[in-house]
Amino acid sequence: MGLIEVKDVSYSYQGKYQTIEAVKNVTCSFDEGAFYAIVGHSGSGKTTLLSLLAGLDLPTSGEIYVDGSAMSALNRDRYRLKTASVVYQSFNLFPLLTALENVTYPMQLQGRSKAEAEAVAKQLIAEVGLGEKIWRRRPLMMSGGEQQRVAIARARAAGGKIMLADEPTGNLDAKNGNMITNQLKLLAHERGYAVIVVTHNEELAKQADAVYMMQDGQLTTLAKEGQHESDA
Amino acid sequence: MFNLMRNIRRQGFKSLLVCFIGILLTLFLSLYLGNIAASRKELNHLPEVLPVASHITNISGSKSVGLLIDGGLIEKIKATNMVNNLRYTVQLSANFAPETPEEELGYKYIAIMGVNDISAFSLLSAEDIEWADGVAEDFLSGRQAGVIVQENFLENNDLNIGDRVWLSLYSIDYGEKLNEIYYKKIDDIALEIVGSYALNVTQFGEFILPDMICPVGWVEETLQEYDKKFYADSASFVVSDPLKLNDFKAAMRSFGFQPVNAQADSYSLSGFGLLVNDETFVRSAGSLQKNLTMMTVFLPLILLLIVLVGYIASYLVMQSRRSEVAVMRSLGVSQSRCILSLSAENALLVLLGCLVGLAAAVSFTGIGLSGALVITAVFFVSYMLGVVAALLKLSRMPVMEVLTKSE
Amino acid sequence: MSQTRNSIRQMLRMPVRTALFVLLLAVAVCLLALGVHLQLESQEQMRLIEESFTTIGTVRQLPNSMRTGFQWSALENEYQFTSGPVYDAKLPPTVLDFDDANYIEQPEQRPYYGAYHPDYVISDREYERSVSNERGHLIVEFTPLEDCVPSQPVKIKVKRLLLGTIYGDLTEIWFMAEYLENPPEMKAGKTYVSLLTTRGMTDKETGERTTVYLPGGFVESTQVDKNGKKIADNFSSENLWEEVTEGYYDSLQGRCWLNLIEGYEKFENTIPVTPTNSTKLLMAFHNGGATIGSGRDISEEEYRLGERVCLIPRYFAKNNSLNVGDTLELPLYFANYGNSPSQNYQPNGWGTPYASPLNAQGQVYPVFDDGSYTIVGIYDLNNFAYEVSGFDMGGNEVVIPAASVKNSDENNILRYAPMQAFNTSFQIPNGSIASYTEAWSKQGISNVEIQFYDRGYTQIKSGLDAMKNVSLVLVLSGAAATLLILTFFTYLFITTQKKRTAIERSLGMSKKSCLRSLLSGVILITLIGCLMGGVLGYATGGRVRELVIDAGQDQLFDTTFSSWVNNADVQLVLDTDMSNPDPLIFVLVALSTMLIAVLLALAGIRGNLRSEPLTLLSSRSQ
Repeated sequence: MGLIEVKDVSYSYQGKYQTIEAVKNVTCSFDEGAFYAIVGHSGSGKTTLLSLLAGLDLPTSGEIYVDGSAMSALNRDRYRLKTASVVYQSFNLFPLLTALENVTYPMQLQGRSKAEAEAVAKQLIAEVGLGEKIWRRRPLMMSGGEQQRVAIARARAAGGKIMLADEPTGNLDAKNGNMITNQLKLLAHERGYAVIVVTHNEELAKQADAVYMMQDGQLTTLAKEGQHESDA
Repeated sequence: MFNLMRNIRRQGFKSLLVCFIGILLTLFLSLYLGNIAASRKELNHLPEVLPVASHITNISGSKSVGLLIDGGLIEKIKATNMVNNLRYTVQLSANFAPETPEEELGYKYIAIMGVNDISAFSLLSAEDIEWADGVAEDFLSGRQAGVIVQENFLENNDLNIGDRVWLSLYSIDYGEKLNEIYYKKIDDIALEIVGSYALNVTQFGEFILPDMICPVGWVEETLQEYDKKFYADSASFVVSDPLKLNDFKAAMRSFGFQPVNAQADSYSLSGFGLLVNDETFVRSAGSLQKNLTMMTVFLPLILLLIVLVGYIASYLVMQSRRSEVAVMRSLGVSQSRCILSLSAENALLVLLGCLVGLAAAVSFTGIGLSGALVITAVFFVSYMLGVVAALLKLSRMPVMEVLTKSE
Repeated sequence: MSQTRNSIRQMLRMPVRTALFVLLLAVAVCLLALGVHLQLESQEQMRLIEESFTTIGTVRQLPNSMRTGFQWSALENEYQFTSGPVYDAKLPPTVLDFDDANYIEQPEQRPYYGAYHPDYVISDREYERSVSNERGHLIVEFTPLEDCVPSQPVKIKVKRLLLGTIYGDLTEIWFMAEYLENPPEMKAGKTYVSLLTTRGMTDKETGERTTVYLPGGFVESTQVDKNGKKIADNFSSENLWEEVTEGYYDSLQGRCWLNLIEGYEKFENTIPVTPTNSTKLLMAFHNGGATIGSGRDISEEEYRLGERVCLIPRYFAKNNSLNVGDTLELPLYFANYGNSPSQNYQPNGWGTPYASPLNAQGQVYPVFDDGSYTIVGIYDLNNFAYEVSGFDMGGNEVVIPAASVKNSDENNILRYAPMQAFNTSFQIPNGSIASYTEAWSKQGISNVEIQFYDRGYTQIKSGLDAMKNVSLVLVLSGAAATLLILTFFTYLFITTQKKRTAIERSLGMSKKSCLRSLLSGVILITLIGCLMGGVLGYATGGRVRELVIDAGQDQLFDTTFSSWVNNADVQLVLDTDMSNPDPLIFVLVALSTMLIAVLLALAGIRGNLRSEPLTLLSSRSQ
């Protein structure tokens, strides 16, 4: 059983003129220590699926299990605080907080002391390859790559085991994009995270351990190089 | 709710704005209420500054003394609690009582006035009177028999304080068109001279004080004894509460007083006219009253508008922090914690603003504490309602949509 | 146009926020406009309150010393103490001219003039006046019944009554030279002429009461020049009675007696006329003792131009059947600077100046100014007769503009005194007593006493000032709040449109076009919001006005019995009306708010335009 099990999950919402089924009967699983990519064109439902995996919404039908527990039974805020984190295309750092403050934020939410949180935050920032100079800088003073790395550090700060990323390299150049991809891979392979990335980036998708394809709300497993469909 | 102060600081301009909105709108509301309070205070203060004097006249207003004012009217006026300083007088004539009835003179040459207080004559004051030993200064307000006599008269007639004089006492009536004077004898009465008075009237001239002054109460009692009706010749008083002027005038109307009519018979002596010198008071109080009414009637509207401003402004301020709320939710901050945290920030800011605004208003207008607290509460509640409404709405927004769409 | 459409489209894509902004703007404009409207109304009420007060200062020159002396009294058989003021110099009202005086009405020292016309009906008690000893003047030819020295009462026989009446029509009366210690002898059979007054006397032995006639004056002139200096004459005599011989009345002295008779007869049909530069300077009008019941007051312009208009008292109007609009002849023949009309003329019209009717030539004063005056107002007296203030109107006193008297009175002054409170006054602005007093004290003039009468204004001034200040700050704080709201929401709307601006620029739109694009949207939104606010404010203001009027009805002061409105002609109904909201206020407030919003938006948009598009588009700011 994977860390995350998605069992026959559907999600629909009321659009302006009709009911839209963004996710239809998706079943899949995600293990820790693996780097997953979900690809698909815009409007395919992949971001919606990510949103469900992040506990930001509940499926209309079906269930998502995290470590054996049904999402619907979980305190989803707590889930995002302690277990799963999300990294976004537009970084979504707090614009008025410094890099250090952004990273300490989730730890302080958990009740850890400021000193302890800062010490951990500095460590995390260093781990994403950023130096001391970045600590007191606000997002406006950082490059895109720096912001995204800080976002990853923040995402790690909660201490969970699930990293969700929505087009994390979408606003970055190739160099920075690679850097971020490597970070995510590191998280998966060396830190044991279940890293699930929604992306259009073929290069990134190629580096994933497994690739899912979303199309019209339905998920299919794409064969990885060297792997057959049935192995996924 | 950690890092409340840090967040407030970092919001910078927005925080200042929220604070200033609180200051200005609280100030506005406080000043508004302060203006109402000030108007009310001025209005209540007016009677002290602008006393309203009134006196009885004949129906044409041409005479205010020498009238025939029914004693019953005087009693009615006394019985209301709407007047202060009621001064009323009666004119009498007298001669020294003759030895025999045949010696009675046609011409009555002693002028006597009955008064209830020496201040009935503006030219005389208590200091002008010399009293006999043992006679109290409030003698004239009583009903004892006795007279105080003009010093010149004492000298001319070889009299002294303490003497008893026999006087033939007459009440006065006037014929048609005031062409004739009728004297109605009361009786020969012995009166003790209990004091004397003198006044140099050359500065203003013309007003001749009577030869003798006695308590009007004694005159009333004496006339009653002789079964004669008492008529006062003048009456004046001050309205005790000019703010209740209408009640006073209604009471006077019910007593039978009528407004003065200059076209009426100016020979009439019936004391049914009433003149109230209330111009300055009525104009001032009327304007203050108008101001007060205007501000009071507009108050609910002003309050509503301020509540609306508070609500809408706070709602929009919160809406502008939409993405911040989304990030917080995405990081696992619970809905209630989001609402509490941001509410606390705004509550602190707007409360600070309210307090500063209040302090400014209190020092400026002297508005009372209870009024101040009500104002603070009204604005604060309306503002926070907007904050909470916005946050509740934000908490229902699709977080991922907010965070992934580009603005 | 397409830019505007685009702009609007984008704004409508944020319907809730846009609608809320419009609503907020409308509410802010409504609040501000109503605040301004209320403030103006409040100001108007304060102005009305101010107007019901005036501040008058009266001026009295203080004597430098008191002259004392003793006067013989034959009746008392002793010398009696007398005293009178002594003035080193008589100060003119110009001593009150100084910087910082800030007069509304300049100080004036008013005489009263005597106007005589044989048709005047002076009193409604003519019969009583004609028989009363109080009429004033009595001139008789008499002869003593026997040789005598009238140091004690002596009987005389009245041969001819030249002026006045004797009560009881007696032909034999008691006569005594009261004020002469050693009066000259009178011979029986000789005829004498004298001006008499009366005194009541009680016989100490018998207790009998009787009237004694005393010689009360000389044939003299009291004429003075405009500085108060007595003008010498060649006929004054200190004889209290003169012997009448054959042809006596052809002599200078005799002719003077005849003139004296004529003069006193004129006095008895004379009314006092007060020339002034403002009705408010007359204390009786200032303190409500006199109020205009019919017609109107003399206007400022009429005073200034010296129009021949006048105010007359109700008593005189009734006795002479005069109404507003009628004309009154006022032949002025003497000026009295030494007394007030109320000192000389009783409310019933009786009275006379304390002066001789003869000028220095021994003639009755000739008319120095004659005119027909139109009656513009009739005033009523409200003062209580026992309440003597010294500032009451005299009997039959007529009020005219000082400038209407075209000819000088300097040759007709029969009495003079330095400035007195009853005839010298000025007006200063309400609330300026303290500053005036301070400025006056710097002039160093110690023998002039100034008293102020402001009907209590000083005591309410601080309260009124506080209300005015509060009103002003109210509007300012409302304006500041509106400005603040505008600033913030312009910021929200404009600075968050940076990306849009960048896209438009990167698509090739010029800066000007970008400006127009954003601004057009802002203008439209603010126009809608401000107009809504203006209309809302105006409508609610009008509706609430009706509520104010209704609410005020119960609080209206009843003006029945009020001395200032109470007579047959004038019906004054106080109302609770407040003026209709002036649409101009709402339009101006709406437009000003819009202008400020546009200016703020402009500043914000220019800020956006300063940034390079590509920088903005790759901007990480959120």
